[in-house]
Amino acid sequence: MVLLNIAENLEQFWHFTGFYNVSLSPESLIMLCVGLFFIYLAIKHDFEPMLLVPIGFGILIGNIPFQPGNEIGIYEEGSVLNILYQGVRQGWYPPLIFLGIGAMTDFSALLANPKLMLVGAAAQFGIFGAYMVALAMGFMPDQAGAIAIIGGADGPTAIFLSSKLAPNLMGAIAVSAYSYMALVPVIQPPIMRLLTTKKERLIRMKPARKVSQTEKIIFPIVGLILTCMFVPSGLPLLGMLFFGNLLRESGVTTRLAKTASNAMTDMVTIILGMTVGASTQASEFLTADTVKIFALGFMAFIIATTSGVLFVKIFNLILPKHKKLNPLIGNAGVSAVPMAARISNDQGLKADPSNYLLMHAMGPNVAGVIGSAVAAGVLLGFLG
Amino acid sequence: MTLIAVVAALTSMAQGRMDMCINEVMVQGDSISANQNGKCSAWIELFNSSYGTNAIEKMFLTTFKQDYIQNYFKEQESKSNKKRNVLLEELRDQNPDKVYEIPRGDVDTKIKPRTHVVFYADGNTTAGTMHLSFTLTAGSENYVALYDVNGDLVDEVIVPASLQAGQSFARISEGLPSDMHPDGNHSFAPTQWEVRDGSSVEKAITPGKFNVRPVNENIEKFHNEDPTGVLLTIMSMGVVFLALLLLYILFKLFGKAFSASGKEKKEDEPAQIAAPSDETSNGDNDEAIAALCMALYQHLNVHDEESGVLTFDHSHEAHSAWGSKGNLLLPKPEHHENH
Repeated sequence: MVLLNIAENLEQFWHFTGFYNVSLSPESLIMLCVGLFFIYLAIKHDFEPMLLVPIGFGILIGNIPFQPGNEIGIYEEGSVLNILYQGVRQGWYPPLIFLGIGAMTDFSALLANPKLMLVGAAAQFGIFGAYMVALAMGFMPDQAGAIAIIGGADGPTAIFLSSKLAPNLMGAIAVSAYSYMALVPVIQPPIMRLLTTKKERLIRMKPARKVSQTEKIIFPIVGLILTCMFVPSGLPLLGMLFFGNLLRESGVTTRLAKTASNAMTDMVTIILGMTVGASTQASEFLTADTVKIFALGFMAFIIATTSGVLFVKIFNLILPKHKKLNPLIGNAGVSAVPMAARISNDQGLKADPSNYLLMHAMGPNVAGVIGSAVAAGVLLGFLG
Repeated sequence: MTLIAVVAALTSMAQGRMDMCINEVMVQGDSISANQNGKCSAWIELFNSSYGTNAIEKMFLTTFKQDYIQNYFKEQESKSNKKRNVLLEELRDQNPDKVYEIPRGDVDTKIKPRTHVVFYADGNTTAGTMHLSFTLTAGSENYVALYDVNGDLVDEVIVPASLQAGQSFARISEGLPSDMHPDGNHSFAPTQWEVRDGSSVEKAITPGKFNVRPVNENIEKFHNEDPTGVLLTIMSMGVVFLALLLLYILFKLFGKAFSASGKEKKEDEPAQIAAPSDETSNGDNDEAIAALCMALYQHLNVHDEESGVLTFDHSHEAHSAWGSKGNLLLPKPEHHENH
């Protein structure tokens, strides 16, 4: 009798384990492999480790099979993971990340040469080009808008917009956005080389003027008022971005700026990455739509890079000879800061080992952050 | 007194109870709308049209017509200074089959944003909070009104006598704060209501659900009118460019203004340098000064002599937080300087 009870209990326990439940949802194994691959990419190849480690580990957490009903899953109301996930679902974390980005970003490269803002605007065509392709693939406008924002190369913005427009696609969109951001060094250089001539790659840009502290203080205030008057729906992102930047530049809130850019951003990044990863449960993630989203995301990055580089080439036609821009900074119009700017610099150095483009490329790069947030606000305004 | 009244009114508005409205009424229930006990009683559906949770406790539902209640208020207010909600409570005590006060403390009376709550008009208050103390009469006109906690009318409806069994009287679309009471008064507008018999999707009887299936008009519009997305792309890129173009123009102007002021300062500087001063110049003269120094060095062959002795400066005292005041002090706050 006792033995029988032990056997029953063990069987009950067996049903409780992940080993038993994995047989009910074998697709979880695929997701576990994806999670492991992300961690491998981050640790071995140093691809965006700050993001891919939390996301990869989150994928592992979210795909350990379990018996439902114990309030442990990310989609089970009241579970710890579910509570943390609300920050993603309701769009709380992205504005906090933007506060940190604002506190970290030095806009002086942009202020020294403000015409680079237009390069940041041009690269946003990646978003809207992908929007048109997504519509052609049969997505509804709100879903297409949420997917297209991947082209902004901005993870928090992608999460923010998809949580509002297409919450059911958010996991795939977020993972796609961060994956391609990590792959920017692979995706962008061939396109940049393809679209530019040797002569164009050798263009030397004049060193930028020194930007006064007053200008740096005025920028976040004027920037907020101007952009948010146009696109109030971008307030959560742009408001926090410019607020963080004012904390940095005002010179009197150094402690707050340090906290926003270090401790707070790190905490939110950890929770955001982990919960986004955990939200990719196999049943939700392994769908035909996910494949389409990854294809569209890839396309969006290509369109964004292309439009940025081509815009600089066209812009050069009207610029005086001594003010011409090196088209290699066009790719930096996407908001993958500072990765895209580093790629401009690397490509510039390959063409001419003494031509450093990093600071010039930082201009469109930070303009891309503003541009993608404005684009997200526009999409939310039209489709929200 | 006026100020208090205004504040009270604003408080009431702030609480959002004015966003509650009567949304659908059924006088002779059918199996679709049977209550928890399976009885097919009459029911009244309320809708929270706001985007915040509304607590409807202490609000009143009544079948007394507005004129009757207003006259009652006037009559009683001339005798005493009682507040209207107190008067309504008195009226409820006198006519429990006509007035129902939604009790406090039930979580079901906290109505989430854009959701509905259904009250069963079965006269059976022992069945729970959602069971009214009054009933509706089939085959005759029924009047239902909703009053807020202050005793002010929130909404009213006159259900026509022609309403058949299995039919409901519903708002054509869900009430919105802006169009619920277009003239600012709370009178019943029959044109906003229709009889529903469940014969089609448009005529569905929907207790606890939306009368009209909510659709995002923007998405529908873009889906139908801009299937390729070109229009949205042009508009959106236009907005993005315009926003950043304005920023560009502004900061171009700022840049010029600051550069001009910088040049003015530089123009002032030579006068200062010309005057006898110990201050060394900086900026463009740095290279010239460096060249002069180098020339002087080579000409004079000056070299400072070193002692040639290397030594350690031994500390004879072991400093610790126990024996040194300096070690007890907190580090000095860093002085922030932006270069």
